[in-house]
Formats: sequence, C-alpha cells, structure tokens
Amino acid sequence: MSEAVERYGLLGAWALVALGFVIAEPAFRDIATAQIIFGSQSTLLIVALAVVVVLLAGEFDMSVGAVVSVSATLLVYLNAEQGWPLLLALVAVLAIGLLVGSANALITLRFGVPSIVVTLGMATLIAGISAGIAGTAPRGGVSQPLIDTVSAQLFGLPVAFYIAVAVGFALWFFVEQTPRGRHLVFAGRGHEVARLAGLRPDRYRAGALIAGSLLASLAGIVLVGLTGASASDAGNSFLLPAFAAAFLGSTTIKPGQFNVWGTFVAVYFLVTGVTGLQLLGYTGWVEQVFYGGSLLVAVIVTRVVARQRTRAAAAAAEAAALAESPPGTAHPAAAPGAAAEATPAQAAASAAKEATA
Amino acid sequence: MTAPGAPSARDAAPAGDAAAPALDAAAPARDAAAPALDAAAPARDAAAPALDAAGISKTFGAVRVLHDVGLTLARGEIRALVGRNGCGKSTLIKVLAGVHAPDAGGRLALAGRPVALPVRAADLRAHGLAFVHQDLALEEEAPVIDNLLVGRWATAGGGRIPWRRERRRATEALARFGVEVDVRRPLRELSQLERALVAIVRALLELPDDGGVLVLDEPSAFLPAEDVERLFAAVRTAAAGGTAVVYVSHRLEEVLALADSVTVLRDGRHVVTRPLAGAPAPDAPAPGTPAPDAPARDASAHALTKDALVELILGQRLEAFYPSLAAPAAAGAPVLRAEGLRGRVVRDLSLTVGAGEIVGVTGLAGSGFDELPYLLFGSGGARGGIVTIAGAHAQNRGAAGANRGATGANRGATGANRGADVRIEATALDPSRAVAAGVALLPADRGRQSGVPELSVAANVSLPALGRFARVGRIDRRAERHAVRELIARVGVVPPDERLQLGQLSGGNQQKALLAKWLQLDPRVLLLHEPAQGVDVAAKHELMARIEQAAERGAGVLIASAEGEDLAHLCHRVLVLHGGRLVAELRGDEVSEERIAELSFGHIYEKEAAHV
Repeated sequence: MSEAVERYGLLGAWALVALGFVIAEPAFRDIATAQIIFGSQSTLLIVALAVVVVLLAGEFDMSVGAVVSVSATLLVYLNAEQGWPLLLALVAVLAIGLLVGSANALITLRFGVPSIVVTLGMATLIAGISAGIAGTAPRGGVSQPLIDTVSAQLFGLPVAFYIAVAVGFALWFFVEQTPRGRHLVFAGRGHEVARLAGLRPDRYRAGALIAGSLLASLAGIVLVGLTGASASDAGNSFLLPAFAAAFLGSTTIKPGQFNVWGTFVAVYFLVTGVTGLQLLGYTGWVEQVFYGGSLLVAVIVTRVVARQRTRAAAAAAEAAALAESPPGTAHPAAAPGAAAEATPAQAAASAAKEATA
Repeated sequence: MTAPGAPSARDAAPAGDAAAPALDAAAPARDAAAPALDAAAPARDAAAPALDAAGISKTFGAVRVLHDVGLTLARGEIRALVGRNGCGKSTLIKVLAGVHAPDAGGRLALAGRPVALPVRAADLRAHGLAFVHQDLALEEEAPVIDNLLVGRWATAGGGRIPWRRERRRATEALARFGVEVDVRRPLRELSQLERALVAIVRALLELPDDGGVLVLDEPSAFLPAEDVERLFAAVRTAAAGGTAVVYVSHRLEEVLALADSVTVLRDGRHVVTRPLAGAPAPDAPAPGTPAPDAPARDASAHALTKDALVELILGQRLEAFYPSLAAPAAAGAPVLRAEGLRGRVVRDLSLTVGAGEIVGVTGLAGSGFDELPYLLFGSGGARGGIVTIAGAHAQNRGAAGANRGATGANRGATGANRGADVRIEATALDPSRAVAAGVALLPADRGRQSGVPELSVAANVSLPALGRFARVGRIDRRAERHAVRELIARVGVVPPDERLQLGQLSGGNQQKALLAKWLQLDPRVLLLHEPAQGVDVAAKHELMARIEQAAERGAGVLIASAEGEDLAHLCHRVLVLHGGRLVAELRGDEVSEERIAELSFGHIYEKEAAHV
C-alpha cells in the first residue's frame, strides 16, 4: 500500500460513499443534508476526541458515554429543577467530569487495575448515582440562553460544531506541537521508553483519563444545548461510534496513530454512511450495523498494517544482525544463540517493570 | 542404534586446540554405559540412551552457530553442558525444544525411538523431554497445585477434578523433593528455591515412567549459594529415578560438584565430553556392562579441575596471573559512586566511576552484571545501597535545563557553577531524578525500553531534549528536525533521514540514533547495556568511537556487557561479577579479552579469597 493511499484512503472512501448517495438518492443532494451531517454530530465529535486523548495515553475509557448522560441529566436537573443559575450548573457539571476522571485515574494507577475495567465499573456506578438523584425520566426546561448559544447558526452550522472544531484544534495543537503532547504519545506508545527517558508516564496517563472525562462532560453540555433536553441514557449511544471513529481515524491522515483530524474524517464517514442509508429508507438497525461493522473493520486494518510494519522492521533488523558476523570469526556475537543467552537482561527489565507496577 | 560413544568421538573438536587434545582422547565413559533393563516402558527401549542426538547443525543466514554437534546421555545420567556465551548451547537446547529447526542431516533418538527433526514443540511430552528454563515459567499468583498440575489434572466422574486426591498427589510429589508446603497457597509465598523445585517437579511429572530427559537451563541463576545444595539433592533424586538430566550452568563449581559428566561446546562445536570424578555415585542401580570401547568410569575419571575445565571452555591455556590492585590510571574526579548496592542478584556492590573513565562490568549470565546499569539509573529492582552522582558543572546546565521541561524535577540540582552532589538511597532513585542529575541510560532492549520503533527517528531522538526546541510552549519542529538530522548524521546513521520510523532503520543505525539521543544532553554519567548487541561491525566501531568521545568530554561511562572483546577494546577498567558480587577488577594493561573470560568463570575468586 503506497503511503498516499494509506494516508488518504478513508477520505477517498468517504467521497465515494457520498457520491454514491448523491447518485442514488435525490434528497441527499439537498444542502440541508450536508448541514445535518456536519452539524448534528458535534456531540459525537467531542466524545470521539475524549476517547482519542485516552487512547493516545494507552488507556481505555469506557465511561465517556455515561459521563455524557450524567452531565446532561445533572445540568438540566440542577438548572431547571433545582433552580441553580446556568453558570453555576455548568461549573458543577464540569466538576463532576473532573471528579470522575480523577477517580478513574486514581484507581487505574494506584492499584494497577486495567483502565478498561475501572471505567466500565465507573460508568455503571455514576449512571446509578445519577438515576438515584435525578431519576431516569427525560426532562427539559434548561435555561434558554444555553440553547440559544449552542444551537445558534453560524455560516449555516450550529455553534456546537465550532466548539467541536475548537476542541479538536486544541487537542491537535497539544499533541502535535507541544513537548508535553509528545510526552503523552510516548507514554502511550512506549511506557518504558518514556520512563527511562526521565519522564513520568503515569502522570500523562492520569492526565489523559481526567481530560477524557472533562471532554465527555463538555459533550453532555453541548448535547443539552442542541436538544434542549436530557435523557438518562442519551450518552450511551455515543460510546461505540466514538470508539469506531477513533480507531477508524487511526488508519488515516497519520496512519498508525490515533489522531485528531483522522478522527474527524472518520466521524463524518460514519455519519455520512448512516445518514445516506437512512435516506434510502433503512432505519433503526442500520446504525448499529454500520457503526459496529466499521469498528471491527477499523481494528482489523490497524492490526494488519501494524503487523506488516513490524515484519518489515524485524526483517531489516535480522538482516543487519546477520551482516555483522562473517562466518569463521571466533565470536559470532550477533548469532541468535548469543542473543538468547542475554535473558537476565530481560529478566532485569521485567523485574524493573514489576517494581514500578 | 549406533555404537555407544560413537557420536562423541565423531563430534570431538578438531585439532588446533592447544589445551584440549589430551582430554579429547578420553572417550566418554557414561555415554557408553548401557543402563539396566527396565521393562516398564514397552514402547521405548530402556537399554538405549535416554537421549541420543547427533550431527546437529544450525545456520542463521550466513552464520553457522552449531557445527555437527552430538549429545548422548544414559538413563539417570547428569550431564553438564558448559561453554561461554554464544558457544551454541542455547541453540542446541532450542533445537531439542523445537524452537529452532536444525539444518538437514541431524539425528535424534529418545530412549531408542527416533524422533523426526525438527522437533514439534507439541510432541515434547510424548517424547519424554521436559525443560525448565531460568525464568521457571510459573504463575506467581496461582496456587502451587495449579502451577504443578495445570494441563494434567486427573479427572473423576463427570469430568470433575478430584481435589482431595490431586492435592495429595501434588503434596507427595513435592515432598519427595523436600518441599513441604500447603499446595493451596499462592506460589509467590514460596522461596526462590522452592519455586525452582516446583518447576522441576512439574517437569518431572511430564516425563514417562522410565525417566525421560530433563533439561535444566541455568536453574541456579537466581538462587542464593546456600540453597544450591538443596537444588542438587533434587536433581540427584530425579536422576536416581532414571531421568537423564542435562544441566546447563555457567557456575563451574556447581558443575563439578553435581554432574556425572560434562560436555563442553566452543564456537558452536563439540569440544569434549568427559566423565567427572567429583560427582557422588548415583543411588540408582549400577549401570550395566560398559561398552568395550569406553573405559570404566572410575578408571578414566582422573580429576578434572576447574582450571582445566576453564581451559577447555576458552580453548587456551590459562596464564598464571592475578589482577594487580595497583592505583588506577589517572581518572578524573568521581562522577558516580555506589555503595553497598543490592538488587535482584547484585549483592553488596560498591564501585566508582571517574570523569572521563570508561568502566566495563561483565560476568556470566546470572552474575548480575547486566542489572547494574538499571540499578544505578533507579529504574527499579534496587533493594538497598546508596548512589551518589556528582553535582553538575556549569557546562552541563544546558543539558539539565533542556530536560527541565521534561521532568520538572530537581531544578535546583543544576545551580550555579557546581550543584551539590546528589546522594540518594538506591531504592529512592528513579529515572526522572537520574536524568535530572545528568545520568543517561541506553538499555539493551532497543524496541521496548530504548526507542519506539513505530515513531519517527526525530521524535525518538529529541524526546529527552524537547524543551530545547520549545518556543513559547510550542515545539519548533523545523529546529527539531534540523537538530536531529545533524545529530544522527554526526553519529553516522544511514540514511540520515529523521522522518523515517525508527524501526525502518537497521539495528546498528537505530542504536546510533538512540545513543545520539543521550549524547545531545552531554550526560555526566553514561550507562550502557550491551550497546553493540545485534549491530554490524561498522556500526559497532562508530558506536565505540562515540562512547570514547563522550568520555573524552568528561563523562563517566559504565558499560555492562558480556562481550569481553568489546570491553577489552574500550574500557580503562573492567569489573567482573560472579554470583552477584564483585570478584575481580582489571585495570589498564591487564584488560584483555582472555582475562575477562577467565575471571568471569570465577577462576580467580577462590585464589583471591584465599589471599584475603
């Protein structure tokens, strides 16, 4: 696969899908459809970015969906039912995101529990607490200024869309342009490399888990701003598409790495596909099939590409090792036999790892 | 079945070996001894050797690492397999274990039954071959009984495990080898020795009734000396039950004390197989009549001394020499000092590295030398001791300052002209502190600890110095790329393209780039672990030149390596470890490959101890 094809393959696929729908379905040519595709999924974009931050650090956050739901529910509950001023309610909701993220980070790092399990438990826990406090009934009545601000149209798209783009830009800037962003990537891709370079990768893992929850809270606020209402399970439907977008996004723009603009492309690829299929009259089940199938295809592609790279690198390394020792020298130093006997080194390394765990 | 003894005779090293000819002439004794008849195993020929391998060769690419090697063991025989690092013994064992496919032409039979090569790992149990590797491959958190019986539970009605009976079986099996534990306890509660014994008993349970073949690969590497005798007792018990044991060890004292016979490999060739006198007679019934061409054990077993064994392993005569303890060549003020350092293997070790000095640490596998760089860097595993890093000088501020963004720690350490020394408990030292104090570590595990193969060369190299390229919190990527390109060109990375993924470079070029990553910081202390592992000759020279250059610029360099040749070439001073302790120190002219190798086998240890 040539590099350009790899890098822009998904963009091309997106264009093809869009073109297909344009040909097949007249309604798809409507400008309103484009507006729906770009505007309606701002919440999903932000949730996908939350997932990306955490994945970059080598962790999984399965609680983002629940945090969206809880944030939305509590925002409406506090603002509409308890009469809190809007700003105070917003601060409270973000504080809850901070709290959940901190708890995820603390449990993951302090006790060495895989984050995928911690966040899965956390998701159910906070959903339950939220239901206990505010009930599970859908509710509306949030202050109009929030709806007016978030839903306001700007160049034909809601402010929510620009919020998502701003978050994406900030995240891109951090990851690609700042030293700490680079450290985050190393903490996720090479924990030991980062640690032995004198960094503290655990801090980056914790920071990513906290940032992920905060972004999910923001997504909850945007959701309320767009719909004016909350439902106790509103966020759950974002979890799978967000992961699908993150993994699909890692196959494009910057292939092999979770990246912001790839995630954007992936979100729009998914939304375009689903919207088009819905316009063609497939409803209900099609979303699940499309999102679920895309996630599986994305992880398979990621895996295959990674394996090809590893294989190429291994072949190069072996060739280099073999080139070293011409036959007949007294010490075939690079012979695999010699390498194999260096196991205490690996033992020491794993001991070191144990000690840090 | 071929005539007993024949494989060894054929495989004996060719002439040209200064020390060995006399020994080579002695035909192996126990190889030839036919074991007593055992009717218990109908499908297997109990009179045949337990293990009979011949003509085993292995070539990796253009490098032949095993040349027509044979290994023949009688039932109940304990055979030591020795040789220096890279002699081919690991490869031989991996061929037996089915990890490597040997070159065509080899032959293998177990208890008289021919086995097709390459061996299929899944069939090992059926063949009656079991392995215990140095790392034991046990599950720490699982109960002892699970570790022992997993995969071979007896089942009662309905496929259920009869727990009471299985517990008794496990307890009795362990008790036979002197391990008295509640088998329901998790393995981690057992001592290191008990764990080793559990691994051995597990392997024995896999073997058939007639004994089979047990391969122990450095089983004592992590055992304290006082426990080794109990391990021996277990091995002898196994052998008394008819199991043939291949015992791989670098510890020659152990070999002489335990084994019935020894096979020496050198440079991938069989050098000699000899009986050993020191071993106590096994309790098993005496072997049957020896083959006529093999001298009886007692007749041939003139004592093989440790010196003679070392000569066989090295392929040259030992020179009588002792490392002088004269003053060192002028090294600068100490930049790194360790006192009473203790780790997983390292015991109570003290050392000093001066500015501009290149110090090698070496030893055999399991001697603990390879643990040292990590202990001194605080990367984990330290159990005690104190590390002192001399305070940074003015010219070092750049490096520490550049790293400040990275760590945020120890800003004060790089004060004005000379900061205070960093003196710290080894257990409290961590990489972040070490880097801030001006220490750099280049680990041996390139792909997992040193660099991230899937990320760019630029990102990998600039990692510890990113702060340098930051303008108002933003990385000036153009400056970063230029700096990295210049750096890797200077150390001779080919191609000098910083945009490539690290993993797309060859091993040697990766290593050069990763060395450059640390050299850009001008470290006061440079710790290296096997810096030339798996790199080509040209890259090795380039790496060595850069290391020397770093020392000339005032860094204290410590290289942990098993490659005596490299150390002899590069080091002002070489420390030799044996069993976790410092046993010898070579300085200046004394540093030579031969002496390093001799000392590694603990040769001088007793003599020195006698002096003290």
